[in-house]
Amino acid sequence: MKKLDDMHPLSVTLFFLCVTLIPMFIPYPVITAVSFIGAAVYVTAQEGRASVKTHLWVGLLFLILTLVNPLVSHKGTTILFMINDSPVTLEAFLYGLNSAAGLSSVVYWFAAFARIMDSEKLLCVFSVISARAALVMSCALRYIPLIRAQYIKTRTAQRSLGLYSDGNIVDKIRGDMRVFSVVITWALENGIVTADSMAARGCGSTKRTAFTTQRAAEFDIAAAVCAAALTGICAAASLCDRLDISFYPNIVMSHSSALGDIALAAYFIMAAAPTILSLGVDIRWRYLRSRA
Amino acid sequence: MAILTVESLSFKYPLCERAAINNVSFTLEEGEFVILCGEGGSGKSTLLRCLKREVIPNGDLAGKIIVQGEDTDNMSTAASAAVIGFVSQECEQQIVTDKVWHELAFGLESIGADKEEISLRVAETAAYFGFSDKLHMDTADLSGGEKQLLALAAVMVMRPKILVLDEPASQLDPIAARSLAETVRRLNRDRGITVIIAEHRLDNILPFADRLMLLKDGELVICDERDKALAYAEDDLLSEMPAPVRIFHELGCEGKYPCDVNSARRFVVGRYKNDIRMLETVKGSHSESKALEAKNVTYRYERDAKDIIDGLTLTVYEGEIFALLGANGSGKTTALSLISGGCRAVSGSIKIFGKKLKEYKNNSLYKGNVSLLPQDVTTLFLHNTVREELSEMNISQIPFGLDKYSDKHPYDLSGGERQLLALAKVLAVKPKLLLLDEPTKSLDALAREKLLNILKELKASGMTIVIVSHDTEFCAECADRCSVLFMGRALPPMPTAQLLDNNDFFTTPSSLISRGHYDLAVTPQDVISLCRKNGRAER
Repeated sequence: MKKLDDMHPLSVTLFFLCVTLIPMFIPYPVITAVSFIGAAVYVTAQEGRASVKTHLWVGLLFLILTLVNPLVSHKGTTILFMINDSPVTLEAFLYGLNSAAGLSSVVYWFAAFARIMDSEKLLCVFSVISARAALVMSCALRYIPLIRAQYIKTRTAQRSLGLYSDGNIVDKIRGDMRVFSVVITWALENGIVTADSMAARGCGSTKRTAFTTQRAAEFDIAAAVCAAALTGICAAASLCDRLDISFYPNIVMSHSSALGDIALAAYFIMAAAPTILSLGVDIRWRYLRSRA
Repeated sequence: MAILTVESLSFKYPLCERAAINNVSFTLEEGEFVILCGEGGSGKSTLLRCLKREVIPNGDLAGKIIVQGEDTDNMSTAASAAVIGFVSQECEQQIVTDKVWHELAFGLESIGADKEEISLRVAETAAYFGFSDKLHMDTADLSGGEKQLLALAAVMVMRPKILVLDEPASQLDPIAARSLAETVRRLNRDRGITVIIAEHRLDNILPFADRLMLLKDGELVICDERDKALAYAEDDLLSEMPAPVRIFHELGCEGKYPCDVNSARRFVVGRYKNDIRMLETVKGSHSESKALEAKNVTYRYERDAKDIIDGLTLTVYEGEIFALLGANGSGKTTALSLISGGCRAVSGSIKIFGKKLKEYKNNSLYKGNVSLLPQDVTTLFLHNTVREELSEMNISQIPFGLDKYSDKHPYDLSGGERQLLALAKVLAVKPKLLLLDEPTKSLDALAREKLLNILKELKASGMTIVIVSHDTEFCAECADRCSVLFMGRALPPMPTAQLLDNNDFFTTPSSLISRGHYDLAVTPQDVISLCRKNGRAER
């Protein structure tokens, strides 16, 4: 058993793709609710107190999305009250609530994904696409901070020449233009050194190998296969119209069916999996420690 | 066995009339350690680059380069990339990727090695070069010395037979330069790697050299065993040599040249009397008016960070050259930045010519008062030619002998010429206080000499100069007073010779050579004069 944090980045990426795409394409209320709760619980479990900030932001987003729809859309038959002679309907409100849960859950999942994927893991994902893409990403990660640092150095140096001044806005813009131009020249000139250094080590001579520090264990593969299979069940149920809902003019949901219920269970497993794995690993760790 | 044979190699840059390399031929035996000498512009860099097929500059190349009996033109790309390792002086720019492990793997990825092999070789190399615990670090977080070591390791991972090093230590501080030299020596001795290296400061590598080569105007004038070459060498080679060799040579002695401090010390102490122990020097008197007065200055970069400058108190008097020594990260550059108003002190006061920094309104500080020559002078260059660069500062008469380069791009100048161009730019505002941050970094012997004379002239004209540097030999030549920066504070300043003669690490080779025998002899010239005055000891 492994936490998502320790899994191969490709399995992690696949899992997050599945767990976010399902509520995007199947906006069935049970699914959006499960996604929202699962993601919120996972983020809380992972980040602890630091998650308060994430919750506040997502909460705000949730509120806005829920309230905006009934104000804009006046479809639906159950009128709750009138604002400026326009009806606010229950159907529009529920529609807003459902899509807010879906979208907010995606934000939560992304926050969790971003926390897990450091630059080395991202590099591994890129290297599957192409070894060159991975190299470009690695170079970018190296050069963007380098150029930034050079910009700061240059600004200080130019200022002490007395040509760059903060006095008024025109001077300041002119000064910034100077600095920008110096840094561009520097970047181009130094690009030649880097290019030489790459060529000297045989870059471009043959097909690149994409070396990564990541390792795929059997568990990672099994997890990826599970995620794909569970997603397949949900997709099948959706294609057979077992997870349909329409809000306007009246709310109509597809009847409960065996396939639909299995799909809901499948998605529940997916949304709960990150938290369960994480808890499982912790319990097992304590157990092992207590025996040692 | 000959590992590298160069046959009548010539190289001409496009649009140049003269060949940069002219009919150079030589052979290196396997496992040799060769130093390539020559002043700036003699074609050292060009020659070294021509040896490595992948980095040959644009231009016309004639001649043959044979590695292990195979013409490099006929080699496969992967073999050619691996067999010769090339490291240049730019420690920052030759690192390509963002993580240490990836930089080490880069070369092997490029020649398509399989993943298991990459893992093994990266593991091995990281262990040898001491990167095992830094594999997951960002390359940007390494120090300059570590970056250059990483560049070397990233080349060694490809198992080269020959290492071509183009001034690898010129951007490094003395301690990092020393450790790099030791590593190269270790590779040469333990692994039998053939080394050909060009370097400005030869102190660290001369003792290891089997052979010296001297390039002059693109021609190979000397290519001989070290001791033989030194015996018949003339000033063009000797001016670049470290203090032990220069002292021995100037005194006109015959025999085996001492290459390190220890043997030079035995030579001086054993052969020369010491009845006169000290030169009569002019006592360093300074004017009473203060050019710079810093009191209890503190500074930190982040709110919760440590104070990098912690109670700096320092007075520099008008008309003197003051040097601030100190280890890496001791806050030398930050101190200059504070003095020049680049960043503002958290507490304490800084007065320039009796006036507080913040009273200099509207850039008036930079108009005729203070100028800073930054460590990275390329931050000053904006235009396409030297002439435009200077006319921007309203300089019509191009100074420092730069007129012959007036149409060149600043980036095409050598390290020394760049430094002079930058100096001309910062002097254009006619400062009364000039601040120099590591001015001798990446300068060769000739350029250092030139800078030294310029600083002396500026001082004679009444300018106050503050130098921050690792280069104790340079400070010994020009500074009146010195201080060491430690834990964010400046230790009490002393006259330069006294401070250097009293120190074991922030000192000069000449002082170490003559210590105990003579007093306050901190430059080669001091030692030579004292030896001459005292005369030879009776045997």
